[in-house]
Amino acid sequence: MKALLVDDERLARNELRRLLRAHPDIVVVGEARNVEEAEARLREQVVDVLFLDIEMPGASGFDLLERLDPVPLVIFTTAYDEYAVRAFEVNALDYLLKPIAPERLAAALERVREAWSKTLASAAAPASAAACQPLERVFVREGDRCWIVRLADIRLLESEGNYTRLYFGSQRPLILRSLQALEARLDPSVFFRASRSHIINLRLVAAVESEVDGSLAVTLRDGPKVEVSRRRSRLLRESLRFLRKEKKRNGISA
Amino acid sequence: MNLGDPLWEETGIVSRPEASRQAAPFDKAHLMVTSETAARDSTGSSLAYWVCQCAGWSCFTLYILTFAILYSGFHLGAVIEIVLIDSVLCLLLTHGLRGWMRRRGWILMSVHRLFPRLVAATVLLAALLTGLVLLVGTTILRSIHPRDSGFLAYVFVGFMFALGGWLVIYFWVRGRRNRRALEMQALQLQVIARDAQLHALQGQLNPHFLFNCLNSLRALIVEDPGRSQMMVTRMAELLRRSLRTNPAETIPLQEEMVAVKDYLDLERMRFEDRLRVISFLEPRALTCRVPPMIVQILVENGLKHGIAHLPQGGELRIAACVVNGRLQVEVTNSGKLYTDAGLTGSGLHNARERLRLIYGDSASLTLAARDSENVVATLVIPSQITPDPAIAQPEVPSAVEAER
Repeated sequence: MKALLVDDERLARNELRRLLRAHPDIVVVGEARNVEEAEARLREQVVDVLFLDIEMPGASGFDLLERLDPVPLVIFTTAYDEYAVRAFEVNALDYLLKPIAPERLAAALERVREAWSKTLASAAAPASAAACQPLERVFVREGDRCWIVRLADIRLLESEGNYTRLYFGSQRPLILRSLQALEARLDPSVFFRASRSHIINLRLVAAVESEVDGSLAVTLRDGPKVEVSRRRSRLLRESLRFLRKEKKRNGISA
Repeated sequence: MNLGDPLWEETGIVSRPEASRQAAPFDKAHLMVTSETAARDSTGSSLAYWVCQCAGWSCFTLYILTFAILYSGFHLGAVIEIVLIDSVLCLLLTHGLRGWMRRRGWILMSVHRLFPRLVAATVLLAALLTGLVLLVGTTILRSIHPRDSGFLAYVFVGFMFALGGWLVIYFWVRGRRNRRALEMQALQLQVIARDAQLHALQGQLNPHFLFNCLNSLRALIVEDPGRSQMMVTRMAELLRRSLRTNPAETIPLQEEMVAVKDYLDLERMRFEDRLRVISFLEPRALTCRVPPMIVQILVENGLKHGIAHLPQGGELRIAACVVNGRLQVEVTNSGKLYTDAGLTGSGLHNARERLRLIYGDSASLTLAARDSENVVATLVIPSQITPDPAIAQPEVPSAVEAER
């Protein structure tokens, strides 16, 4: 796996490099002293995992993530930051506290390898062989809190003007991307456009009800309930049938 | 009138709040307490005041009535006269006197200015009341009233005693109340001082700095064992000093600059060539006393809010000199001034608090943009020269100079 180290302190980068020598599968392909440099490195080459300091001159590690699309696997490194520790409530890959303990690094890398093999598997699947690779994760920041969310965990995307509200877990933060822009980057076999302002995750549907006029109402796991327009309802029936078949097929093969 | 010394000492205390209000050396919390006490006292004491007024003048009236009836028998006209003059009029007059004393600031006067005024007021009011008694005696109650000079002298002295006694009681109660308020203020100041001490310690053991240092140190051990040993010693010194420090005391600037140098050495391990330090320290300034950690806080602030945000790093300039009998320390750093992060930042805020506790308002700490590229923190405190030159460590200036 190719790794990029982003930290403003030379000694901190050296220390991390030295610690990573114990893990030969991680190849450090570059270093960056700040967000601008990191962006430049990321443009130059493919990076699988980012070791990212949070407090840096100019812009923070969070700022970098907001600018990145797609978001690579990230391990945060921080000296002491209540803010950072608080930030990772949902689906954080990992964060390491400096000075970094070798055991903690090993555990974090284990998690990265696991996530990476999953990414490889989904990339190899024929469904996602589209020209534009579907998004895996999005970085979300709202106020003091932030998340790196796996798209598979998002059950609903709701349009609010230029913003989109994401529903995952018990959170529903807004991100500055339009629903149209996001739709282009979503896996169409999983995410379904239910109406002008809603995209639902078909894998996280709890119940589907038929209304009197023939349209459908979808209840998602942990809510909410979304009305599907009449025109889209027909498409949804087909998609759900397809998904059920797929599930059955997977069930037999397993 | 027996005005004992303790009472007059208390009225002396009365004048102190005035002085503190002029100087305004206390902070918001302090003022809040004073106004709180005042508010509580004014509602509680106005009732007590009226009860005392009524009870006191009623007793006086009863006393006079008893004498009058014993000497010249019961006359309804005389009874009415005594009740009207000795209770109602006396009560109104003393109430008026209280208002007058408050408005004219007698309450806050020093003893030697207040005493003649009180004597004059007592004589004047007693004469007024005696004159009134004479007037009533020569016009309305001519038949029953004694008019000889002995009687008038008796009346005059009686009023003198009554009014003098009233003043004694009034100032005694006031003095007691003020002493209690002052005790409250003293307690409050203690609490603030403790708070400042705690904050200073927390600020000193800035976890972000500490852990970053340890992390850099971990790398440096492999790279440069000799230098890392030095850094460990610096860090130990810094920690020891912060645990030993009493923020209410002062130390020579020289000693403070040793701490600053230790701190900057550690920060330079992290910032490397991104941090350039220049210092201009006047020898005379180095002997002046400063609260411990005060310069370090300014330096820390300059790094944290200024140079740490600059990808190319920046310059930190420390200058100290004595101007017009005041020590002036300037810490200039590259960076921009963010008004929201300015003096509201807890480090500088606590530094200000400590300055106020030690120097009242004769010290100041300001943060301003020197130009578009630099921010300067200016500390001005009254220069107190270290009395014993042996305290100053002679090898230090050279160490500071070495940073140029």
